[in-house]
Amino acid sequence: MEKNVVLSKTAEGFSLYIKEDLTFEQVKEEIRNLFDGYSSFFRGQTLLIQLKGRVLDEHELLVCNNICEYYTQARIIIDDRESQNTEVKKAIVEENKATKSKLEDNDNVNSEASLETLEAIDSVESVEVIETVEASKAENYESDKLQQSVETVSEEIPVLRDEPYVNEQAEDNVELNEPEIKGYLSDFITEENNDDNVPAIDDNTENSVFDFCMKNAEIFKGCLRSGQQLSSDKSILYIGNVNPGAILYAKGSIYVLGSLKGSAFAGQGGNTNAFVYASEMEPSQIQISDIVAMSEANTMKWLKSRRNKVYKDTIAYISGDNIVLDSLSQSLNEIKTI
Amino acid sequence: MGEVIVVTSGKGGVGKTTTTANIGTGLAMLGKSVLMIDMDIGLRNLDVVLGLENRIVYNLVDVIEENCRIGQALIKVKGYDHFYLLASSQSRDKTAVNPDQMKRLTELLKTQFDYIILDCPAGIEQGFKNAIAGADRAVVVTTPEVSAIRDADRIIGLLNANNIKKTELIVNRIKIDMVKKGDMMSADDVVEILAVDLLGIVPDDENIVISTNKGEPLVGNGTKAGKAYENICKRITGEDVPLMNLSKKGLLGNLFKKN
Repeated sequence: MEKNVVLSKTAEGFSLYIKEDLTFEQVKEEIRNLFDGYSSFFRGQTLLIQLKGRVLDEHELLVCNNICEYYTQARIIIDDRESQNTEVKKAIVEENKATKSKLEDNDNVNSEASLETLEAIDSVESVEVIETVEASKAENYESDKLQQSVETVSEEIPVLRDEPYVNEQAEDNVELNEPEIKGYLSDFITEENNDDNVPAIDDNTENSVFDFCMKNAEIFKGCLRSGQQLSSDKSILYIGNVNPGAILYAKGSIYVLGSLKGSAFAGQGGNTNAFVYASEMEPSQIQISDIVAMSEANTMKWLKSRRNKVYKDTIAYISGDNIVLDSLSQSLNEIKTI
Repeated sequence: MGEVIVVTSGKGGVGKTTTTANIGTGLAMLGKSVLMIDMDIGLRNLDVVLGLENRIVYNLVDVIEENCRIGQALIKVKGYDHFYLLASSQSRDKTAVNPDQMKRLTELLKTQFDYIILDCPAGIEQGFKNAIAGADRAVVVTTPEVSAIRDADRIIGLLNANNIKKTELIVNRIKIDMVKKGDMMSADDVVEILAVDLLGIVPDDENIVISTNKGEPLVGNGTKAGKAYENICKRITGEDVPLMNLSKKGLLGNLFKKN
């Protein structure tokens, strides 16, 4: 009997044949089974996979990509078109060589940990051991989330835009999805920004923006109180609450494992790829690069009983000319496609 | 060797002076030797709340400037063996004292008293710096309002930055009926934001106004607020006292509740 999914080696990478008449659920299941247990084999590499057989749409492709990446712990580029730019392939081959040698250096440290964790640990050697553990915990947490994103990606979560968002999907959810943060951005938009809505791919960035940021994060913990400020030339990982009136400045991205009630200024100096993550997102202001978004005054939001509109596990990033708030699962995909 | 406790809040009008007067009196009732120092130079009122206004001869600035001996400036509170007030000057301002002088003064007085309680002025300027200079421990008073909490948050940050090891919180003027209706923050909400240990909750009580006007602290007089301050004093001495149940109703209330 013919197999549903077949993976075979080609000159450039792999080709993945998916049987024509499978439903998407079946495809997901098959791919999961196929890649389960390959993490030690593919870890840290970049794989180019060409699809054959069943045609996947953009959304399905993204989901499959995530499944593959989760189980192989490798960077996967799924290509559904036959003609692929040869330069990209060349770059991938070189990148693979580089990461392999890096991996060999790291292997004696911890063979179980993922590449991301290893790099995070490398970059914070000077920080206390406890804090490093926290960091790798956070990393694991993120990868858990990634798996969840695979499951929930089909539920479109509305992004917050400059103009009032109109929810077309669910009328009864309108209140929940109401934009809490609006960007007042018109003053800041330059001509250049208007020309180029899609962020350019930077050839020098690491495997993903997320990866890149973890490697360059400074870790703090405690409770940042009103009037206190933290700034870093790297990204900031803040473990604890950022209270109203406190400000975080970072040249890179900002991660808050706690509630962000103060202000977060990420991408200082013009990094538009920077983003702000918080486990509880109730900021007074968010600035990324030179775009500012501020919360509407929400009276009585300090009352627990009225705080049902807290955004949990949320990422704020630049989309077009606006800063948008999005659930972590959704935005991770967004960031990967940059 | 005694302990120097600074009572502070950042925002004005949340009940620092009332709290100082009641904590001081409560600790004296527990048999401790207590000295209260009014740090609000230029706007003194701790003496008024304690009913000692007419007995001030020398004040804090006189002690600092060595116009008198320390013993001359200490006003003994009637009815207690070791309970004194060092009043502040009404005619000078905060710049009359500097943090180093305060530190030296508290170091000296610490040897004579179990507890020295400093009534800090509102704000974070010179007066605040003077008050926290010699403090070992801080009690932050706040009311369940956003503005007071924001200031308390700032103050806690400054206290941490100035190496005050122990910072505890008193949530003052809780109106339990409003909390139940969801119109006022509960003590839990406040603690969640400020992330410090809770020393006590004081309910809003009309008796406070009466006691302030009379010049007699209400600790120990049977009112709810008085009881709350008693518990706070016991907690300061290290005793483990559970938070009192503010919503307790009388006998009739309980009967109706059952039906």
